[in-house]
Amino acid sequence: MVGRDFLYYYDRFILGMVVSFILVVLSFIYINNRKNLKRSESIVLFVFTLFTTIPLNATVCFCLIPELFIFKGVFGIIVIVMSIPLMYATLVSAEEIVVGLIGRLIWPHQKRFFD
Amino acid sequence: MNYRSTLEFGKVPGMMRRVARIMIEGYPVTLIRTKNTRKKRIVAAMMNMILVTAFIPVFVLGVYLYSTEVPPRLDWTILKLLEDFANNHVIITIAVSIIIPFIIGVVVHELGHANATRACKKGRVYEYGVIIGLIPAFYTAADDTMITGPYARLKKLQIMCSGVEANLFFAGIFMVLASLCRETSYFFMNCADMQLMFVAINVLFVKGFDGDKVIRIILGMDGKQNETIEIKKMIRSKRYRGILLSQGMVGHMKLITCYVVVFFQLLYPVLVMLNIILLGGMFLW
Repeated sequence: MVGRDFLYYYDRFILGMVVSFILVVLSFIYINNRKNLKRSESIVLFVFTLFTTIPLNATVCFCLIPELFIFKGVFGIIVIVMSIPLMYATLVSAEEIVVGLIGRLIWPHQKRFFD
Repeated sequence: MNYRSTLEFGKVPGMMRRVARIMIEGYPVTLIRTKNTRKKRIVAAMMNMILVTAFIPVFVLGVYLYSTEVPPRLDWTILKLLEDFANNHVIITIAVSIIIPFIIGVVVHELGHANATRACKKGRVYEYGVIIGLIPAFYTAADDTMITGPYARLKKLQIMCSGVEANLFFAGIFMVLASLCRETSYFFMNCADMQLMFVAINVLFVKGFDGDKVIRIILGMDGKQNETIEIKKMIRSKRYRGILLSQGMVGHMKLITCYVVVFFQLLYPVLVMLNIILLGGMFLW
């Protein structure tokens, strides 16, 4: 099975991106309005980002699955099984860093994690 | 100051920064010792500013040019000879596709960190070197512990992110170069791929990589020496879990964060295994 062109998945990718962006913005608004989360915004944002970025990450990973079918047989299955969680983790890590940096710029004064 | 007598390699947080530590640690060998002068700091500050502002536009430009333009064939004799030479000799092919891009990626990454450290007034860069181990790596001896003040956290964050920024910047440049000429497109695209691989590996929250250090600074976990032990204590001990759960929403979020951080530490062996399998598969394929 040969990988398809990225344009084939473009619509789903854009939908996933828009949904995730809206959810992230809503999470920022929610955290800003809750007084009991004051000075702990980064931690709450970290957890919220894990869930709000699911649409985008899921569409990207499912776009790339057909590309990974270039490898056939047992080797191909091992690569796919190990690559997809790693790919998902890479995307989550990058998004957490970007959202966390934006959160830190908006709310610079935070309590330490072990306080 | 005899920094060698005060530095113990890799044991003082923030003092030594290691590069691409994919596998087992090895023996460090110094290549270049460098002094921290005012002129170097000013140049570093200017380069850091260019890097911070230009890495995203250059990367986007590179992706756009490479994906939309078909690189033209220049039909120059020298380029044809280089292309034939590279394709017909296995060692040269491996050097062009793996070794040279790897070295460029690693050097670019560490120079990004060194540049950002030097750009800060109290940041110091002492030496560059090679780690001789199972997989050779490069390191930069940089010290950002003396950076203090109201914006110290942001400056340290930028230092941590500068390696990835440099890799993205050069990935964009290599993609632009790859779109210029078909004969050299293979080499430049391999260089760009390797830069992106470094970005992907370094953003992970795996211990020792930049992503882990960045997220710890963002979450405020960077104060204690043994944060990993504290995090594992919080997960394993029923008492600590109870204390966290009684703190309301924030306590629940802290507990989830601890589980996520520990999960990402488990990714390290998966990353190593995948590297071994893919490298082995490439030779067998």
